[in-house]
Amino acid sequence: MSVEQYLKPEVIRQISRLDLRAQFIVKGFMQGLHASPFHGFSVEFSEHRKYTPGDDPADIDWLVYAKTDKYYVKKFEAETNITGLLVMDLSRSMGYTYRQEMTKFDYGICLAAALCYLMIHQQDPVGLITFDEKIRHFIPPKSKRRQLGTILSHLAGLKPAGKTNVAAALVQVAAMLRHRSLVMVFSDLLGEPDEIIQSLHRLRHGGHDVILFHILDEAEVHFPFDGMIEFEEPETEDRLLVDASDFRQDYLEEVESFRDHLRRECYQSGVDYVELDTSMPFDRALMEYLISRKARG
Amino acid sequence: MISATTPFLLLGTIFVAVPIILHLIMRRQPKRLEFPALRFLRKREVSNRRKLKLRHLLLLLLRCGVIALLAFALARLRVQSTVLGSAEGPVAAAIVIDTTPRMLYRQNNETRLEAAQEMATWLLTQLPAESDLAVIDSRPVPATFALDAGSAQNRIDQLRPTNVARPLVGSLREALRLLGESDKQRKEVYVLTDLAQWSWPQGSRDQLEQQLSDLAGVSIYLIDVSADTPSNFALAELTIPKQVIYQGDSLVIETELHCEGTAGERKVELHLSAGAAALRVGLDGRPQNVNTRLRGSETVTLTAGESQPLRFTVSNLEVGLHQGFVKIARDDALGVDNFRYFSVEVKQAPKVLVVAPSPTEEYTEFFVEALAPTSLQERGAAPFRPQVILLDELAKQTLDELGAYEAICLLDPPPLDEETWKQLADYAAAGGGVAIYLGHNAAGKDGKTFNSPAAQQLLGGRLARVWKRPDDEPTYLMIDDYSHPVMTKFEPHRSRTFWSALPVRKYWHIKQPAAGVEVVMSFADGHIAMLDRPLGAGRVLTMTTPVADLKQKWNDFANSNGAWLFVELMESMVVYLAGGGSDSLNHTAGATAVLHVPASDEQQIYSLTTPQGDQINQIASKNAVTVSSTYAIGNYRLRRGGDEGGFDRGFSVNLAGEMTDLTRIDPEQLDEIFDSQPYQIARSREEIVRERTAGRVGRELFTTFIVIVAVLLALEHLLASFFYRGREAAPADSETPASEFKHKQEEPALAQGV
Repeated sequence: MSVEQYLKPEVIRQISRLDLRAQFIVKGFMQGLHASPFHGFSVEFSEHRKYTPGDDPADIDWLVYAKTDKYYVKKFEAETNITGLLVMDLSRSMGYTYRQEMTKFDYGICLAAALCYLMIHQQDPVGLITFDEKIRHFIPPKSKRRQLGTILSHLAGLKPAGKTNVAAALVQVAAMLRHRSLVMVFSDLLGEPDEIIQSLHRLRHGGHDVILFHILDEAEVHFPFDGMIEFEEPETEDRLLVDASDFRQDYLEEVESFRDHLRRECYQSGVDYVELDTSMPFDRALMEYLISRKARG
Repeated sequence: MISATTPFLLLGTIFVAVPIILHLIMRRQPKRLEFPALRFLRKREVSNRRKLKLRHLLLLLLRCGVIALLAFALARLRVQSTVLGSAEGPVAAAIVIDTTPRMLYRQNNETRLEAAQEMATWLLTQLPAESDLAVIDSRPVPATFALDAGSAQNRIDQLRPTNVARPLVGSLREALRLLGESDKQRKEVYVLTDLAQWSWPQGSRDQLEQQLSDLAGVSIYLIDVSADTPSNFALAELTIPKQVIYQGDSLVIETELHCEGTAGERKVELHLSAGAAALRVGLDGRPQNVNTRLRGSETVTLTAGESQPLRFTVSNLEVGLHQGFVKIARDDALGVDNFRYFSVEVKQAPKVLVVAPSPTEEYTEFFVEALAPTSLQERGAAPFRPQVILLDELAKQTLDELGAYEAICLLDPPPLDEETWKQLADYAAAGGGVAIYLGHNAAGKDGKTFNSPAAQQLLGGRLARVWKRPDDEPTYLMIDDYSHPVMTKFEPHRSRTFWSALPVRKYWHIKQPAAGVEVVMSFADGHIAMLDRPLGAGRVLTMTTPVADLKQKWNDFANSNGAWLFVELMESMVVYLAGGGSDSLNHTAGATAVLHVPASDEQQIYSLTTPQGDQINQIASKNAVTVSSTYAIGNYRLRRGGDEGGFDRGFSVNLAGEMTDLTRIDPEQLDEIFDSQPYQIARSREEIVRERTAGRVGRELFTTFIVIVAVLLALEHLLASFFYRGREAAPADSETPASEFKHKQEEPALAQGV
């Protein structure tokens, strides 16, 4: 099995340990990249080290090669460290899965773990915030190796339950953060879109970079239902009887317009908006993170 | 106006309720599912519901419409209106063609039948496609619709004149009956006829009128194909007073010559066939192989409408069958009535042994005179050759000597010896006939009676006593069985009471006939008068009162006003005993001819030669050959056993005289017949065209309905697949492989990622 397999949710869900999951996702991801993600974001030279396959040949220091007859690459030290903050939605709706394979929450956890792993290895400080209607837990950002274990063990113990208020929680997060940070939000955003956008504006206004991982279940995206179905909202227990076959088109249009609205608003306010559903490989999200990181590098 | 051919199928419209009921009742039970993204459904809920209702309603209406229209189409709804009827719809048409031999009348080198066939062929081309067509001729058979126009045309081409024809009214009624069975709205009858009087008999008009009123709306076109001014000489049916004559007697044939149209002179000839060969007759009724001898002719001059009786007498005919024809020597437009065929038989007078007590004259005088009148005897033309002997001489006769006589009549015999009874019984059993007329001698003496076993073998029952009627209250004879051969000649006079002219005062009372003995006649007081006992191949007739008993006055048979009846009765009895049948030898076409043949224990096969020269085997049954297929006119011959001493009899078949009567029916009478129904008489094609196109309207809507149903079904299918296209795209089943979703998303994602 090639390492890329670990980018697929249906493979990852067979691994129970979250740290392994994170490791597999990141390794799988890096296998497909031409450049090592661990370098290149900083401009200040720190040391030489031996060339290893996967390093950019452009970074080989030919003067050193001329003197020593060995390949060395220049290592750069990050000028500034990026403080990453994983913001995880704990709402009951995040625990939904139609196929009973991987919930939106599981997907978000895996992604968060992978990003955490990636950032710790770049010596970036990483923290974690979980919220439902308000902030439930906060692990302050640190860049130590130990931080990875702390966050992963915390993530592994989380359970989605109760109602949610994404907007209120984000406003609270904005108020909490004093340093400029990269805020990565994992949520299905099933709340009032305008309020959520308002709160994103607040974050941006505070000088934070925001990546919004909008995770939906594949059933919520494709609406694979047929016949008369009574749908029940898990948080509000609101019910609705519809003929799903006739409703599909309308639903898909509505979801698309919702996502479109978010996408447009996020673009305008400089928020990276990543549409995800639980059937998609993880590399999409990781790539998004790296692009965002590089832009800030 | 809208009408339906099968209105009960309109009940099918109640099935319109089926989709409605399904719509209302058969709603699916909803599944309950958790779904966080409910907010997106909520937003479109109202508009979607409204849209859905509209779609459902539209589909429901389409489906109901399809069912209703199918019901209408199957009920074969039709609209009658001049607008819709501008295109001709199929009709039910019966073409009735008169095929009586009268239609062979030739004008302009064309028979009336050929003219009618030509007209019918043209009519077929004028009728709309897919019409129900029937071609009905004059044969008395049930009519059916032809399969298509081609077979109708074939039927017209094959029409031939029919000698056994029903009047046109009968064919017309058959046509109406057939049209009544058709489901076509428009019904038409075309009658091609020469409008002769005979075709419209008074008797069947009422039934026709009834049928016409039952089948309202049928159009009747009488197409007159008759000759402009018919001119014809016709022979009436032959009258032959005696079809069986005895040697020495003359054959008398009477007929009548009738002139229609142009006056003129005609020679009428009588021909007799020479030799044993049967006369061949063609389809037109004319003799073909004219191997005949002219035996008489008369020349007659007639004016138009006049008739002249003719009488032919032919003498010196040999014993045997004689067949021939009477013809008008000159041919004319209608040939079929220029010939009349006949058959007669000439027989040797049978020998009859008359046995009487002494003095024989007293007993036999009247009896012998009745059998063989002196005047005929002198000419040698007497029907019987009686031989009178004394009772005593009877015992001396050997059986062979008795065998020379066809019949033995015992007049008032006393009881005879056992041996004599036995000899008489043997004679009868060998095929002879014995008549016993009981009188006062039967009382017997010397202890001999008629009730001895030997006598009873011949007699029909035991004699009880002499029954005496009061002098002023005599009884008389009555016939019990008119079908008995002795009595058949009296059958036409059944209603007359002339038997009271033969008073009877005394008779022997027989209480009960023996087993197997038939009572032929009784007295008016109910006692038995005549018994018929079959004995071997022969018969014994017993009469309980004597004949010509002048002294004892038991009855007044010979000297009353009814003497002629006595003569007829005696002759009839002896003819029966002598085995001479009274078969009718001249028939009209279609009648059943019966020819008696010699009795035989074995099955006998006879060869019948028809006028067309065909030889048909006929099996005798009950001593007779019955020929029912007498459709061809001419002379028939029935033979067996070769020319020398073999069986040779025959009969003739002619057309009924009135069948060739060209007299036309009065237009007023036609008006009477079609009183309730408008009808048109046409003589040319142009007249028919006008009437026909003016009359035919109405169109069936079947095709229209089916087209609309097809369009609705297509529309329903399109709409349904448009409305529910999502179903096929994404099945509800959660068993859809995950890879389907995965692949859809994976490819663009990777492309983006790299």
